[in-house]
Amino acid sequence: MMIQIARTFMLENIRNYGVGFGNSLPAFLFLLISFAMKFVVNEETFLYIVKGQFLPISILLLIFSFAFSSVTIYLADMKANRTFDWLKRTNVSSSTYYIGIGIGIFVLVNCMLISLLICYKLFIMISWGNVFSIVLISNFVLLALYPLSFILAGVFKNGKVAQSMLVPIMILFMFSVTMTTMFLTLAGKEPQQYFIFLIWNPMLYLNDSLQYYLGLTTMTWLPTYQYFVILIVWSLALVLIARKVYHR
Amino acid sequence: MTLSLQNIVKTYDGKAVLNHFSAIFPEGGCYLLLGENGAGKSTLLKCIAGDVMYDSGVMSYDRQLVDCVALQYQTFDSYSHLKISEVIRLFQALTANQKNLTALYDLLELAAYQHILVKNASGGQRKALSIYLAFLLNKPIILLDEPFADLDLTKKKQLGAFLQREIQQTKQIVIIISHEVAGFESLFDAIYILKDGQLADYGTLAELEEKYQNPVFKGIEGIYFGMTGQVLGGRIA
Repeated sequence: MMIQIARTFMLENIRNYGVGFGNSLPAFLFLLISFAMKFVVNEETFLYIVKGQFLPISILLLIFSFAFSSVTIYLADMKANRTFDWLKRTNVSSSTYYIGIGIGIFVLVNCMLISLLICYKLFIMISWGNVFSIVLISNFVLLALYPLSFILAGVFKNGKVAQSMLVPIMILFMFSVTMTTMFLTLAGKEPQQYFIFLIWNPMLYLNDSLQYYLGLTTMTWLPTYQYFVILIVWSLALVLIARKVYHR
Repeated sequence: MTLSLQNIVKTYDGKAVLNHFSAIFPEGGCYLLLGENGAGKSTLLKCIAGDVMYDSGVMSYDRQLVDCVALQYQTFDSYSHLKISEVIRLFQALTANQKNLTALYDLLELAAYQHILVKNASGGQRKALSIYLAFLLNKPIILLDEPFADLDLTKKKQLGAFLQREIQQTKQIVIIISHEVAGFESLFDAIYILKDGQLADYGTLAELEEKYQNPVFKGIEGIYFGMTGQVLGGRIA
C-alpha cells in the first residue's frame, strides 16, 4: 500500500509541470546566477558568495518549496476536494498514508537535491563526503518539516489559502536564519552566540551545518548528532500535533 | 440489518438543515430521497457517512455505521493528475475486500477513457468513476448523490438495471438522491420526501401516487409536483 501511495504522490507531482517547475525554479535560479558570477567576480569573492549565500539558500528554498510548501498545498487540496473522505472508507490507515506520502516526498526531494549539489560541485570544491553529509542533514530537516505540512494543511481551508499563507511562513523560517547570520557576521559578531533564539527553527540546523560542511565555519554550534536528535524530537512532537489537527 | 435514523438534527449557523429527521431503511432496498435544493438531502447523506457530525439524534445499525458506508459525492475532483485507470488501481490496492465489478466497469465504459487524466475527464466520465469507486469499496450501505446526472441515456438505463440486480443479490441498502428519476420508478422500494430538513412524507410509489394524484405528471414527477409545485427534470426515453 505504501509504495502505491508513494507512487501516486510522485506521479501527481511529476505530471503537474507548472507546480514542479515553480518549485524547483528558485533553487536552480541561484545555481544559474552562481555560474554566471564565476566569470564576473574574482575567485575568492565568488566562493564566499556561493558558499555563504547562494548554495545554502538554494538548498533551503528547494526543501521549503519542493517539499514543505507543495506538500502543504497538496494536502490542503486533498482535504478540500474530499479525497480523504474517500480514503477513510478504504482499508488504508492514516499512518500508512502518512508514511506513503513521506516516501514520495523524500524520493523527489533527494533526486532534486543530489542533482543540485552535483551541479554546484561542477564549479565549487565540495568533497563527496560533504555532499553526503549535506544530503543527510537535509533529510533530517525534511523529516522535521514534513509533519508541519499536515498541521498547516489542517489549519488552512484549501490549497489557495495555504499558498498565500506559506509566503510569510517561508520568510519567517528562512530569513530568520539567513539574515540573522549575515547581518551578525557583517557586524563582526559571532552568529552562533545568538542561535539559542532560533532553536525553534529547523532551518537553523541545516544552515549551520551547511556553513560547516562548506568550510565557512570551523565547527557547528552544537555537535551534529545533537542536531539529528533535536530534529527527530521535533518531528515526533509535530506528528502528535498533526494527528490532532489534520483530522479535525 | 436495518439503518435507523431517529430525530436527527443538524444546524449550520443556527439554521436547522436537518430538523428532527427520522426514517428507517431496511436492508436489500433502494430508497430515493427527494426534495428541493437546500432541503437537507446531501447533508443527511454526509451525516450517515460520518463526514458531518449531527447535533443530536440517533443513528443505529447492526455494526459501526461509519465503517459500513460508501458515499459517492456529486463531484469527483480528487487525483486530478492521475489517469482514471490509475485511480482505480490505487483504490483496488487500498481496499482489502474489493468485489468483482466487471459488469459495472463495462456498462460505465471505463475502458474507453481509462487513459484520460481525471483533470481532463468530462463530468460524465468523472461521475462514472465515482460510482465505480463507491461500489468498489464494497460496503453494505451505499449512498449515491445524483448518480444519473451527467451520464448519457444508455448508461443511465444500464446503471438502473445494475442497481436493481446488485441490491437483489447483495442485500445492500442503497440510498439515492436524484432529480432524474423518470423511467426508474421500479428501482425504488420507498421514496422519502424532505422539506425544510424534515421528512415531509414517505412511502412506496403506489402509496404516494394514491396520495398525490396529478393529472399532468405521472409517477415520481407527479408526487414531487404535488408536494412542492415544482417539476423534476431528466425524463428518459
